[in-house]
Amino acid sequence: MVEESRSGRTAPQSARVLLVEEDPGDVARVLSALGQSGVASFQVTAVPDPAAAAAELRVRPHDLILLGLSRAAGRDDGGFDAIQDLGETLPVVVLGSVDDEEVAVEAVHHGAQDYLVKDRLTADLLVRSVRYASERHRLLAERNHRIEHELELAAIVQRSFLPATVPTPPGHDIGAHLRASGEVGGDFYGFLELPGDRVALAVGDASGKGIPGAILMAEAQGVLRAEAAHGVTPLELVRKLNRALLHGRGDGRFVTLFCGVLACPGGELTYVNAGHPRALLLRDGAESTLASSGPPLGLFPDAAWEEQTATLGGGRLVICTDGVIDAQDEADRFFDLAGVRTVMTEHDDAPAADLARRICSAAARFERGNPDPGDDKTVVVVRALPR
Amino acid sequence: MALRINQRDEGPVTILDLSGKLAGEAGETLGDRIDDLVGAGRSKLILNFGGVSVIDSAALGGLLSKRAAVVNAGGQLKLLNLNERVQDLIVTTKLEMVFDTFVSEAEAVQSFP
Repeated sequence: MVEESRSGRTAPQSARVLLVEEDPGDVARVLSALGQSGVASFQVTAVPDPAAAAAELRVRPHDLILLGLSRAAGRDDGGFDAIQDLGETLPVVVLGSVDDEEVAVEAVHHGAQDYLVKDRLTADLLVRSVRYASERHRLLAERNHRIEHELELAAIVQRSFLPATVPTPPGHDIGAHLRASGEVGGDFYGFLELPGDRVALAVGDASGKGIPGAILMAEAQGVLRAEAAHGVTPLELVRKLNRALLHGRGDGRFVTLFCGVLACPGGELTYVNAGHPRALLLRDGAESTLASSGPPLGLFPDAAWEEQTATLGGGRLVICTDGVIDAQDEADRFFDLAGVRTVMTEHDDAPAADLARRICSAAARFERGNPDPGDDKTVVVVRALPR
Repeated sequence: MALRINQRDEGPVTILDLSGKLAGEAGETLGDRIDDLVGAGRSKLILNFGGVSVIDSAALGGLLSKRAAVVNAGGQLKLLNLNERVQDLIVTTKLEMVFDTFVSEAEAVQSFP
């Protein structure tokens, strides 16, 4: 069934063609060529320019666009922009005035299905081009749809890796927020309740965006979940994950990780920061940062890290991924830990989950004017509850 | 801003002056350029980060694997003029043990055997 729908036989025998051409002579030439065709019939609507074409498309459906490039302009950049605008939903065949391979290739780069020279149009050539263009466009749309569907499924699977609930240990409020920049990404976080009112927590970032980052992230999370359940220390956890990620690789892909065990209700945190951005601890108006003691994971077999300690003691700890810290505004300034600190100060009493969400949104707002795509943003907040 | 690469030679040493953001596809562009140079027998390389505002994790990982390729070809890859932020990232990730970094181009050029 699928095979049949892919065959050329299902190409429209009666196609609605929108001709965008300012030169009446060229309009007549195209109408004549399409009219001579014995194998297919075309309903042609002619408009003089892309603006009129856009207006026409709003009121009537068409199957294909024949876009005539201006004879006067020759290599017409405005025309190329029109291909991109009009070609998003419909196949576009460009009718150019010059027989120049570079212009033709440029047209195709801008999304045109084909490039034909106006002065050499024949009925056969035009009809064949129109039919092939329709078919290619349909196949491409089908493939894009399939890829989008698979990405959506991957995103659902990836979201299922994140904890559905957050631990509520005595005396502490824990919250997390992940703001993904694409369907799938490399950021992750996780918690595990351990015996004796202790909570293991991890925030990580697998290098690379999209699918490569997502696969590496899934691998790292699998190892973390398996090992953390055995009650290993943060340092043992980091070493084991490093070994697991190194296995059979050496492609420069890595995972930065902040992991620790929080003892409640005292709030003593034992942690290892492996190449991850500094975590920020605000307590009694004083600030300290929990910095990296070794390289990211998955790079060096003989790397060393240090297990360190910090006490929350009534304060708030914020662990971010680099998508927050490295968010850049239109003037290329960075959000940085200073931006995190500002949100923390403005929302002194906010619950942990609320603060995590607010920090992510503030970083996302900060980079709104920047045309470059942002990175995943993850924030985990641990807040000591007032006694 | 996309990454721009200007290539120049100082005797056997090739210097790539980089400017813009070393993030996303730019990391691959730089990686391809390094591959081309190594393929052409130019494996004494200096990356001049003078105009680079930021480097992302994927590009940093790419640099690590390219460094390995350069070393395997008998060459070296050195970094020059890192801004404070990039330097901080190199320190955070403890990669200062892996990459030779310089603030003086003359010293960087002379450091090759």
